[in-house]
Amino acid sequence: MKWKLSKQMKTDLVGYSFILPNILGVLLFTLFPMLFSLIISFTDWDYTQGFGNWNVVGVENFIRMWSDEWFTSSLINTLIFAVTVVPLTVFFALVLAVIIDKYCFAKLPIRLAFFMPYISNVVAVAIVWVMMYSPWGPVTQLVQAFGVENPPQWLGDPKWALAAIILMTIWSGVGYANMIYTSAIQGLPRDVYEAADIDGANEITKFFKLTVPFLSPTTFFLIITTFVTSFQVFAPIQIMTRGGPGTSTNVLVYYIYTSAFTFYKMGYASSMAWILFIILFVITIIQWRGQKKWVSY
Amino acid sequence: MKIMKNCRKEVIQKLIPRILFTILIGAAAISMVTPFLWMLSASMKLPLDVMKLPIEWIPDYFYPDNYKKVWNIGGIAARDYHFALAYYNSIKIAVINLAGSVLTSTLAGYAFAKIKFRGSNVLFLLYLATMMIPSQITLIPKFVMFNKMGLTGTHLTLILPGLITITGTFLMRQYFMQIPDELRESARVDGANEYMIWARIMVPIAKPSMASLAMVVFLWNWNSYLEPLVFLSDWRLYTIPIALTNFIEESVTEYNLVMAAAASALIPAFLVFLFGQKFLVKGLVSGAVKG
Amino acid sequence: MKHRKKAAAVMLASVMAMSALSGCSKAPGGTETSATAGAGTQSPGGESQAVSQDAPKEAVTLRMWGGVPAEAGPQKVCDNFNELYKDKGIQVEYERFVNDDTGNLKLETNLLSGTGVDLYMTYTTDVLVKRASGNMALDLSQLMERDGFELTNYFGSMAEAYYVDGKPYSIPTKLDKYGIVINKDMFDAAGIPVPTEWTFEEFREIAKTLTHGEGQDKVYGMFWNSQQDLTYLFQYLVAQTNGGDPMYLSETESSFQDPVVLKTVELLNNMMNVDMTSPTHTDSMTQKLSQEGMFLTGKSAMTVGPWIVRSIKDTATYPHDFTTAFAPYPVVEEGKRNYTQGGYGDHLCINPKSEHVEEAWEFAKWYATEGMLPVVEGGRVPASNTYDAEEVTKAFLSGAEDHMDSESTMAVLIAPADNYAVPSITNHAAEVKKVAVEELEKIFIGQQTVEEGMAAAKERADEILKQ
Repeated sequence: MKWKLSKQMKTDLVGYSFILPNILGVLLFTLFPMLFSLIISFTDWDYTQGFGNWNVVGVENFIRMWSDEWFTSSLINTLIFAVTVVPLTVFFALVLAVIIDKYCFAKLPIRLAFFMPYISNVVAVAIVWVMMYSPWGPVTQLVQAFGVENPPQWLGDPKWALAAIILMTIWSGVGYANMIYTSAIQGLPRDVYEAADIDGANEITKFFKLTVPFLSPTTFFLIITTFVTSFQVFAPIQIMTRGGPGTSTNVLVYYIYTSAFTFYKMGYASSMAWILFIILFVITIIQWRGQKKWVSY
Repeated sequence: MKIMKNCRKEVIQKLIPRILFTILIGAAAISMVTPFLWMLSASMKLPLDVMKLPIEWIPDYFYPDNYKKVWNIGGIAARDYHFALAYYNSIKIAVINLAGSVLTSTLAGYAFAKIKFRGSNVLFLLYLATMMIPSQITLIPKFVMFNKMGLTGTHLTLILPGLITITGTFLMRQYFMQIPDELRESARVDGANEYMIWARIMVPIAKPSMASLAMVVFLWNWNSYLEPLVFLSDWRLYTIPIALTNFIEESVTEYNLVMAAAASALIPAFLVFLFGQKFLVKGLVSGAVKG
Repeated sequence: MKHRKKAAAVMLASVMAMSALSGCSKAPGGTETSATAGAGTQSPGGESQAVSQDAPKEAVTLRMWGGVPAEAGPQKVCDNFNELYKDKGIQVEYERFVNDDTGNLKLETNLLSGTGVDLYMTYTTDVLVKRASGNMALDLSQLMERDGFELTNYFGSMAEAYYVDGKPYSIPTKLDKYGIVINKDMFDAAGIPVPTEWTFEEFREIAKTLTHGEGQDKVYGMFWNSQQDLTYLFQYLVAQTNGGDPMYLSETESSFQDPVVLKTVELLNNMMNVDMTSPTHTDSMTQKLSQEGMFLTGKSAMTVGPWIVRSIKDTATYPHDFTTAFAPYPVVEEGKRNYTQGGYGDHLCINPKSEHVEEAWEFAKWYATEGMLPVVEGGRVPASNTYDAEEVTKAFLSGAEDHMDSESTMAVLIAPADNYAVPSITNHAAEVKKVAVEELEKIFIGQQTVEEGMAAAKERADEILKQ
């Protein structure tokens, strides 16, 4: 008995030693900070007042934020952003992946071209797009070439600024989704398609009846990941518009950043970060649930 | 091969849509790289030509001085933007974190996949669950923590948390799961312990996966923005994205210089991509399919 | 249970190992920062070591942070100081931060973590208060008392207006007045004398007279440079009538419904969107118009200033051959110029966590009372009475004697006044400012009227102020 126990113990110790760095890292840089963040989210901590110099205010932060126009507008903008970016990115990626796989010559160069924006430094990309959207930039020129006399001022117009950033985000994200679909397509069961061919199904039918259902787990994965990253959008906003004009591109993470590092309201900012977490958590759960209904393979 | 056996008519019928689609998608692909082309073109122009209409895609006169100014070569720049230093910092951090997280992920991934220690499943699930925590939530506490520990103003603020990646552990675990147990068993019979098995058998066969992971981690680090923005406050420590934003703030109106700086920032990622695109794509894709 | 304990012990041991590790690796990080302090620029790596050995033993190198580009004066200031103090064991190195949200965050991160900054500049009073109360600025009273360095001796009684909670946390080094920057050649051609007093209405008419041309060739009467900062209109225009707290009526009420504020917003709105005598806010933003690009290229006859002085002198980068003159900001109505726009700026603070407070204090005194001439050339007027007025004027004009009208420069920018608008309210300043900027932006873009926008601004700001 004793011998047996110590063998398991030995295995345990070996196992723990393998995962030790990771566990330590998670403890130190994720779980502990998370706990800490939870605590200060119930305080009115102003960073300039020094560490520990705060009042516990209970859930006041969590109540107050709903009458804070910056918070509510940022939440709405973030929702609009995510709800547009996610389906468009995933849809374009799927259609592209299928068409490229089936019909295109020079598959690799084409895929790489689509993929380039994804690996590019977001700061560099955002700056390039600021210039693209300027009155003398290619986007404006293109729109003008199509006969629009007064093209929108894109980033300078509250009605267009968010749309402009959405377009850029789709541009930079579609290549990744496309790559994932491409590799999923390689695994599609050929025999089922051949059977469909024999039945005389056309391409459109096959796409909707076979490809879409077969790829649904991938679609599900992409929807979740794109949603999570869209909800965390920050860099393009910070570089391109700083939340403006007005509050038209003020998004959640940008406002959290402003509250924490411009206003130094660490407590309040932490409360909002927790709201962000809760939203992401709930959405992921809903999507997991929903997945059971519509993921068919 | 099949096509050749079929009759001409069918060949043409198949070929026409292919050509059409290739042209269509090719055009879309070109429009995807347009911003980069425009950036390169603008980076070679004289300041006022950037704003000239209609757009000159190929500048009349190639003006490499923009790059010299950005890199402070030849002493023609008004000031040194310390781009070379930022490059060094970015590469340093990316390489350290790459090495660190490949090592820790391979270790933990192997343990979670193969070693039957108690609590491994629960730990793994908990571990995975932390993936859901947005980094923004830990940003403020980390900022405070690093200040308390006196680490602000050093690269350790980026390196210490960067030495492990949860996704990486997950990827490596998935990889080791599909390696047959027999390999391990036979080595055990030969008297090897877990560490030796890991080092002599598992690591060598996992090299392609490790390479994939390495590239992904390199890219993450190279492009990371929010954390360096908050943690690095001294130009000597700036990474490329931060040096770039600083550059823009200091020279808003010199678009040609800004574009040259942006182009310079993109090059290493493109190189990694060009030379390692197979590994990179594999790293990004694995774990996603059948996710 | 037993094995758990063991696991815990292993864990603990590795935590300790880990912290030891981070302790070790902190040292190189630390030396990196102190070692590089010896020279302005250098490549990473071994070189830095050599540099610190070259410096005299025990020499303290101070780090001073400021928002002005090094080449616009601060570098020369530091060079002068280093020459003067090389035998006294104090050296100083200048570091520029961009004076915006991100730049100030970087500075404050350094201050709060106690590394890397010995002295720094604070540019506005609300930020000064924040830093003073947040233990980011040293209370200088003891040092002043010890050395008999009475602020009021050098700076007059107004210096006390910049105390925080009755204590000096900074030395006010700059005393300046701002004004409208004028292309004198254009005024001459239109037969308009450089104004010494004008109302909004007169100003607006002059801008109309000076505007001409279409499209690419259009010359604007005025350029508001709104993309850089929209609160100019408060700080410069409203303050002349309402005093040093143009955004506030009281600690708990904003001024966004004040008649002077409304008239000022209307003035800008009319000029941008009705008269078209200034580029619109949208154009400024999307085309990233700059004062250098508009005023110094002759595309606008006037702009806000005078911080463009350093570019006026830089004729290599911005070639131009007209003469620049200055005029005070216009006032809302005749007889409403109650205050002079301007006051102390460049508040020099010492980091309380600095290891070289003594040396920093030495530098601060030197800078405020004798070292500033190189930055005067960059357009900053020293506040201390130790400077000779003629010398200051000479330095201010130096390099641009042919490009700047000395009479109006002297009168508008340099000659001190006795009725400055001194700020005193800083309640939620960052938030109130953000509200103002957002609503103004929507007004100037044409999304809402002045009435709607300023009513909304008032409501939102007061909500915040009541917290």
